[in-house]
Amino acid sequence: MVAIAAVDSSSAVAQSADVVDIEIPAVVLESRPSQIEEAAAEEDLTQTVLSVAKRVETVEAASSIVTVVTRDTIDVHGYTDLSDLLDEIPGFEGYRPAFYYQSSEAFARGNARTILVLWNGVPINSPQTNRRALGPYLPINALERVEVVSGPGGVLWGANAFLGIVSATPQRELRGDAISAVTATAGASPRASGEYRASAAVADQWLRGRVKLYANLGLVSTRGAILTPPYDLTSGPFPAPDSDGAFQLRPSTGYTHNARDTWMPLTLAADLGPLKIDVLYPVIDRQFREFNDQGLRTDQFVGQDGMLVVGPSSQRAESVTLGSVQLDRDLGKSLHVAARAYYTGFEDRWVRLVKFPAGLLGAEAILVDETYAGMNPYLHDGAYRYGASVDVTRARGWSTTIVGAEAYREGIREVRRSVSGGLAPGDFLLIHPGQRVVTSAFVNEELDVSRRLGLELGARGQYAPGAYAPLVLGSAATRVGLARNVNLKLHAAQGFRPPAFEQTNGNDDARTNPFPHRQSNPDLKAERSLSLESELNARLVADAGGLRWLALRLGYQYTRLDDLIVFGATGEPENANRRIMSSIELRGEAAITGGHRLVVGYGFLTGEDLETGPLRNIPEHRLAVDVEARLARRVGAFLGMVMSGPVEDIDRLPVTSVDGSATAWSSMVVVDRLPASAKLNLGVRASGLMGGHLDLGAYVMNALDSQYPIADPDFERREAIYPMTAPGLDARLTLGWRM
Amino acid sequence: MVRTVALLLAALALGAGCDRAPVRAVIYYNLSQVAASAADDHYQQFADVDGAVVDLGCLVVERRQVNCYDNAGTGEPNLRVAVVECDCPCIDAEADPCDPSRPAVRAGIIRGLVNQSDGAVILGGVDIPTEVELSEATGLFITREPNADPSPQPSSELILDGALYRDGSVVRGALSSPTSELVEGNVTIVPVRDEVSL
Repeated sequence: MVAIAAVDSSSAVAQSADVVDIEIPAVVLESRPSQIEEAAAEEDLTQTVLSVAKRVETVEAASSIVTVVTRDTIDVHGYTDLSDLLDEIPGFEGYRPAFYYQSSEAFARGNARTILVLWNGVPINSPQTNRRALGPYLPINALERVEVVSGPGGVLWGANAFLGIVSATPQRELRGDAISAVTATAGASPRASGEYRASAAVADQWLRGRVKLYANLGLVSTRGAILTPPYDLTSGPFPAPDSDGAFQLRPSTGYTHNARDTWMPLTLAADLGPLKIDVLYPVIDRQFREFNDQGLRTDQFVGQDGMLVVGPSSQRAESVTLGSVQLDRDLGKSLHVAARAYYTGFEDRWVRLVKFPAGLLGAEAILVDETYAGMNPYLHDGAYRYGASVDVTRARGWSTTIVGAEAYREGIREVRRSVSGGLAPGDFLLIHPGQRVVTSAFVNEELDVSRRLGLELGARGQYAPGAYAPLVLGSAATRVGLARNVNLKLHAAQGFRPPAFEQTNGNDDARTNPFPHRQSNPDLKAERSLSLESELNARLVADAGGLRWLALRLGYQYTRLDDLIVFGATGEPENANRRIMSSIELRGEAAITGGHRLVVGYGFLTGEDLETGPLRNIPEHRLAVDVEARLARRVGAFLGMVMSGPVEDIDRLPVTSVDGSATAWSSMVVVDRLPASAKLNLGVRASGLMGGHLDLGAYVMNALDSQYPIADPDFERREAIYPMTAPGLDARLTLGWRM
Repeated sequence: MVRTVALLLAALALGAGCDRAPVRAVIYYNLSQVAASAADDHYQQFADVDGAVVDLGCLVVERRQVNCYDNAGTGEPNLRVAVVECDCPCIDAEADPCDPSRPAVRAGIIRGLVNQSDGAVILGGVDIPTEVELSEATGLFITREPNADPSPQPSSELILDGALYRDGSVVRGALSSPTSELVEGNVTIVPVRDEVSL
């Protein structure tokens, strides 16, 4: 096992030419916490060793476009989840809620459901939906670092590395040689009403560090955003045959009145010699939708007898359970083997999903639950994936070869919907159970032809018999050293997104599934992505005046998505669409003497959908500017601004009746032009006070309380009458104690 | 090496310029009381653009199972008044895609529904993508056309007619019948054009 400390410039430069260390499949960075703490503001991201390429290399030498976010940055910026983090990275957008906040999406290059999320190297995208919600189920407090790759990574990482990878590496020890730590955060704000967060962590090591244990139990409890919708939704269009129907609305009863959401994720990381064990388990996952009608709290509903009932109404579960064992062994000087076995379980369902409006399905008012049949209520495994992988790396002088193979089984249990009340109570089948065995193998060869020229070729075969057609993917890259510390990289990469079970296994028999829904298609193919990228990166200045270093990367990307699944005129999904994007990503970083840092990230994106035209709901310009200042030896401050260019959002114009209710017809289309927006974030953090025990932080997110409108995830859907508004300011205080 | 890099960059740039979308506008209708088409006729849409009449294609209205799962829970299909876009003059028929044992249906793509109630839910709405640029259109009308009529010109049997006006990014209009029939509609045309580019 190779331990990689915070890498200084000199060693990293050497590594870019002579590969010496190998870590597969995901590097667990180990460093003395005190070192990191002191050097935090001086870490040059262009030199940071990364793991997403399944081998150790520098950011500037890696074929992909990589951004590394360290624990210090997470602390100083006060990120509450991975969505916050992604929002500041060029090419990504972290958080865009769908209408009425029932779900949110993260975007890579202007497209949702395109990001593979790894937890210490284990994919945690659900096979039911292909997505991974980035909420509190993935506790950011337990993370050591996050590596974000822009662009496809299908050759090395397989399914769902479609347009980006978020690789989260959990902590394995506490800072300052502590063996326990607690943090508590409280805030009061329109964005997170009544929110409090806490976590408790313990870490220790025995047998000269050969045995380590890290455990973190988190708690997030919040009433969510306070929002003032213009109308309460009585009923909206359902999927086909009603995908174009009218919205029925009534005057708003005021601001949202949310029930309390609570999450309690448990993170375990243990090292037993060469074995690394990771566990992620959602002890509590209780999330209500953000809106209810009639001014009711979101855990309330009116029963058939007209009486108010308080209970688990419209409760959502999106959690992930993970268990992984990884073995790393060096076999001689040049051979390294990493083997892993893992299990991941997913929940993506509603409890008490919908209170159907009166008259629909012949019922007055009915409630439904969604469950996975046969599910152990103590195991969150409605959908699942388990398997094993082996990666072998051979590094010989100027050649590094990685050969890997993987086999896994993934599937979904039967999804049923039970209906209580109404004229037709019963138990209905929504999704048929299904599973598929997937096997794959890849090879990746990297040649350092000279100090100035590197070449990389990769290929992957993926075979899922009976599920989707075999896939062959390729990648090619070259790195040319144009001058000292100046590199030009060209990269061609492919990715794919397998058909999600919810689109292949739906029950379309109306006798057993009378609910309006989109059809499914068992013959769907995998969607494909191709990216042609160029990047110029350079360390322009080193130790000049007050500037410790200045690093810059600038790249152009041409991205094409083929066989995209769209819904045909009869509602059946089919592989019939294509999108093409052109983008520019720029990231500049300057370290200034005294521990200060300035980071500028800019992304330009323009794209075209073959069916619907330009990606009008995606901003062409996104700019993030971060200033990290070290105010005193133990006190750091952060000022960040994320600016987003104007977008368009297709909505409907409600027509109000004399009684105040409104109808939004499908032809009353309006294209809302949403102006450019800016979000200002501030933070101050003092660490290591009181003999190294106390950490204090104060954060104000969206300090200008900007209630900017947010476009829907899809321009063409018209599933909303207005764009959602951002929920405004969020102020928090956090306190941590290490012992 | 420099030449190779230049060629690769040129290939990237060329690739970026390919594959434009053919759709130039999306026409959104809400149509009320539009009668089902007879077997020997169809509807045809036209727009007034710069003083010329532009053909926007043909439609038929027929009762269809618009989504193959959509039935009454007994296996019997729910048949809804659907708007089917078809190739003029819409004489082709095809097997019902949901059940070939049923009578053949008019060949085409179901684009939506004529407004109709289904319990508390109001169904309806039609959206038709078109390759015609319609941002300068000043009028839109729909005629009933005999299938046997070979002329691409509109017939004299006008079903719906209305002036169009610009409303921000979209073109909008109310459609009414020139006769005393109850048929009516609304139309909004959304040009496929990104208007927020800097």
